[in-house]
Amino acid sequence: MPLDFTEAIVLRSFPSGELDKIVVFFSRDKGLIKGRAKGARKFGNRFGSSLEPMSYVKVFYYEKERQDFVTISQCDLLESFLDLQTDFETSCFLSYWAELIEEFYPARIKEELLFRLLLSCLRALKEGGNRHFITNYFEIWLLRLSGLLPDTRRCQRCHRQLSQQVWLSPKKDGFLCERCSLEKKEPLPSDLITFINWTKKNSPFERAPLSPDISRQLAPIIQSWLIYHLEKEPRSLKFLKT
Amino acid sequence: MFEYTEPLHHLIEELKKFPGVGAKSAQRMAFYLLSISMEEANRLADAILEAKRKIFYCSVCNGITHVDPCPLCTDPHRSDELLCIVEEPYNVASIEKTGIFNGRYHVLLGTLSPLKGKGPEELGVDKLLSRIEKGKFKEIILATNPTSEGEATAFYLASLLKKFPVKITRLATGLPVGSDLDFADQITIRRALEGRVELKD
Repeated sequence: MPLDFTEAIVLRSFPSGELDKIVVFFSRDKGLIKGRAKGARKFGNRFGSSLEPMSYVKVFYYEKERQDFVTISQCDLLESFLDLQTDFETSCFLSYWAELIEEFYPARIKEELLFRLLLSCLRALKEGGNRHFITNYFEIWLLRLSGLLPDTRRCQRCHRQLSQQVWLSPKKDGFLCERCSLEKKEPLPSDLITFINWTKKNSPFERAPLSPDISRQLAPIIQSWLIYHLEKEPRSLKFLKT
Repeated sequence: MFEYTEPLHHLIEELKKFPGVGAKSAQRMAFYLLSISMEEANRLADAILEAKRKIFYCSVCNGITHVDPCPLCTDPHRSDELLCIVEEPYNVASIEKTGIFNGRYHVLLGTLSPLKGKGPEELGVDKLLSRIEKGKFKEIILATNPTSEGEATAFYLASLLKKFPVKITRLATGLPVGSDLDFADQITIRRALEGRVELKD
C-alpha cells in the first residue's frame, strides 16, 4: 500500500458515514480520483478547508488494489477559491465546470491541459474576470480538448473556406456554409466564430473580445453542443439559466 | 452463486438504503436483528412506525416535532427578536446544548447546492422571508456550516434580508478549541485573524 501524491483541484465532496467525506479530485497527472478522507467531518480535523470544492491542493493518498476509493492521508492547501463561492451565482458556475469535467472524462485519464485550463479559469475568476465570458472560454476549450469542437475554417460538407455567416450541421459536429445548409435556419452569430478563434490564441486573463451581453447570448449555443455530446443536461445548468 | 433466503435478502436490501450503510454493515445489522427476541424486534418496529406517524416538520420553523407549532416556536420565555437560521434539524440540538441562545430557530432543510439540484425554491426561501416580514426580529443569525455550500447559502440569504430593518450576523469561524495553530490551513487562520476579538479586563 504505497503512499502516492499529486497536485489536484477538488471538484466536489460529500459526507460519508458519521465522520468521513468522499472527495472527487481532478489531478494534474492522474485525472479524476475519488478518495475517502477519514475523520474529515470531525471538529478540528486535519484537513481544514482543503477539501472544499475548487481548492487547489497537494493530496497524499494510499491506494489498495481493486478498491474504487483511495484513502486520503493528507491534503495541503496550495490555493483556495472558497471566497469566490460566497456568491451563489458564481458557485453555480463553478459547480457547472466541475460537473462537465466529471461527465466528460472517465477516472484515471491524465488530462494535464484540462487541469491547466481549470486552474487558469479559476484564477481569472479570482482576479475579477467576467464569469459568463470565462465560462464560455472554459466550455470552448473543454470541447476542443475532447476533440468535439467543430472546425471553424472550412465547411464540413464542401470543405470551402467559411465566411462569417455559418450554420451548424444537423449532428452539431461541424459548421456548414450557406450553400450546404439545407435547413436554412438562422445562421449562428458571427461573434461565435470570432470568439472561438480568439480563445485558441488567448488566455482567460486577456481582455474579453465580447461584451457580457453577447457572451450571455452565445452561452445557450455552446451549451447545446455540450448537451448534445453528453446526451443529457448537466444538473447545475438549470441554475445558470434562471 | 449463494443467496440468502428471501426475507433476509429483503431486510439487507432495505438496510442498505440507510446513509453510510454499505452491504457489509447491512448484513451485520440484519444478522443482529435476527438474533434479538421477538419482543425487542416489535419494539424497534413500533418505534420506527411511531416516529414516522407522529413526527413531522413544524409549519413555522421546519424543525422536527410531534406538535404543531413545535415547543421551541411556542415557548413564551424565548425571545421573538432573535432568529437563528440553521441547515438541518439536528443543528438546533447542537446550539441548544450550549444553553446561551434564547431566540427562535428556522431550519432550511439543506443548503443551496447546484450539483444536488437544490436552489432557492427547494430551500423554501419564500417561507423564511414571509416569516421575517411578519415577525418582530431585530437580529438574524446565519448559522449555516462554514463550507462552500453553507457560505454561499449564508451570503445569498444575507442579500435577500438586506431589505429588512434587522441586524444580520454570521457565526464566527476560525481556530477550533483545543487545536494547534501549526496545523491550521491559511483560510482558517485568515478567518481567525479577521474575526479576532479584543481582550477586555
